[in-house]
Amino acid sequence: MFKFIGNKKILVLLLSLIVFVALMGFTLAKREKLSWPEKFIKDTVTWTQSLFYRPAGAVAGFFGDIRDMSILYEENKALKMTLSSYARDTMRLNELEAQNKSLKELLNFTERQKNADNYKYHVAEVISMSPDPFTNTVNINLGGRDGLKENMAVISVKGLIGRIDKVSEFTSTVQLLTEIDDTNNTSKAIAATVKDKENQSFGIIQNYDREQKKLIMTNIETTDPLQVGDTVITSGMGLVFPKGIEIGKVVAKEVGEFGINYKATIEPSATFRHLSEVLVVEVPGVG
Amino acid sequence: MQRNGLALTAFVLFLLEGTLAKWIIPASWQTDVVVAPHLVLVFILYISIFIGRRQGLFYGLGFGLLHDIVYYGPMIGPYTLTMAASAYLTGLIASRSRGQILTTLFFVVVGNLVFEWMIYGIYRVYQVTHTDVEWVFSRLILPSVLFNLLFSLAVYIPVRRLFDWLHGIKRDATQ
Repeated sequence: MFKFIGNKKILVLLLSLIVFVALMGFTLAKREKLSWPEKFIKDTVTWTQSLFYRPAGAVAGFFGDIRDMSILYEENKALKMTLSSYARDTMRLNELEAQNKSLKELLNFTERQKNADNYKYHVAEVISMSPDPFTNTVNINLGGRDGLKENMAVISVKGLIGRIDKVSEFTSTVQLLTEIDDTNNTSKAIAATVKDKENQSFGIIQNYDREQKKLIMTNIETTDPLQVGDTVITSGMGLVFPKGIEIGKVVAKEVGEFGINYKATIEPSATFRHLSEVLVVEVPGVG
Repeated sequence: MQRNGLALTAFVLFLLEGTLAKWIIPASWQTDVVVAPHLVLVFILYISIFIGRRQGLFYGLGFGLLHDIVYYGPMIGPYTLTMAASAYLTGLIASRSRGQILTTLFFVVVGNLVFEWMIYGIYRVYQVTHTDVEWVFSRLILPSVLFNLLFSLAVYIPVRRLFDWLHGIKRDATQ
């Protein structure tokens, strides 16, 4: 056996194993910033990838469109309906916004408090998605130069999809919701609440069940009015994600692990495959 | 030229596996079962089988490190280690074969399996994931290996041609 490999090779093998274990352990810990070689390689390679991703998406989208031709008519009808209700809602929204502003002035809100809900949205294009099935990192084409910072929420049109994990000069990496995990120290839990019951409901989403493809919300009080079918949104209490972003719908509620409180299973609103455009939410004055 | 040609092809495959492959594979294959396209790995396994395990090792190290940096998720290192190790191991077992298509494809499958299990093992040890072994095998490793087997079958002849062509260039240069 030893003749087959040779002493020198065993030495090299063991040494490289030690180096790799050290490297992985070191990079697994929380790092403040990426070093410049990493940034340089990442920015140049992802820039080249951006030349491929868009055309690929366009070609795939074209075939998808042909497939969807039959449902186009129905969809058009539904969209017209929502458009009319949208116009009505906008009117109402304007009215309420004006009222809200005058009320805030009456109550002497500070400038910071007034701006707290005034989010800024950066539109970003997806450049590439990792082929690794365990860590589905997504690279987007905005970076530190565009004002992006770590931990900003990333949403698609349908709902929350993740947060900014690492920022480079011209690109950044998004950690998808499917990667959140309570034993992984690179993921962050989401403080969540139920839409229209914001003051009574609270829970923490810190796990994604790969087998069921659902998010798990824990630490729900026994008196909580959360029900199956409710829409779950971010509460803003965790100070990582801004409040009011849609996460998903409750599909099941059951007694938690120790029987003290409840846990709920949540079907995410957003899809995590075939992403093309995402929005990065910047909260003024935070981060 | 030989080295540049190989590196360039591997780099193009690297660009494709994060962009085009994600769009070509149907969305249901990325949710119900997870198919992970490892085009670069297949190419490096071919290098390791046909050109030499030492070259395979170095290409594995290089492109694994590139993957780790570009898709920097939880840590740097797993792809560098596993790609190099699976390429070297495959080259080691394949060193006595005569390069027929079936045996070569068998070695590619072995290399892929070694790679997937090592990646899963590392992530499990470092607590990045704790998905069940059974689920990972049936929903993730098996479909991925099948997909990569299909890909390796599709590129078998072009890759042989490419290697022969590059070899020819090298021989001309030395003469």
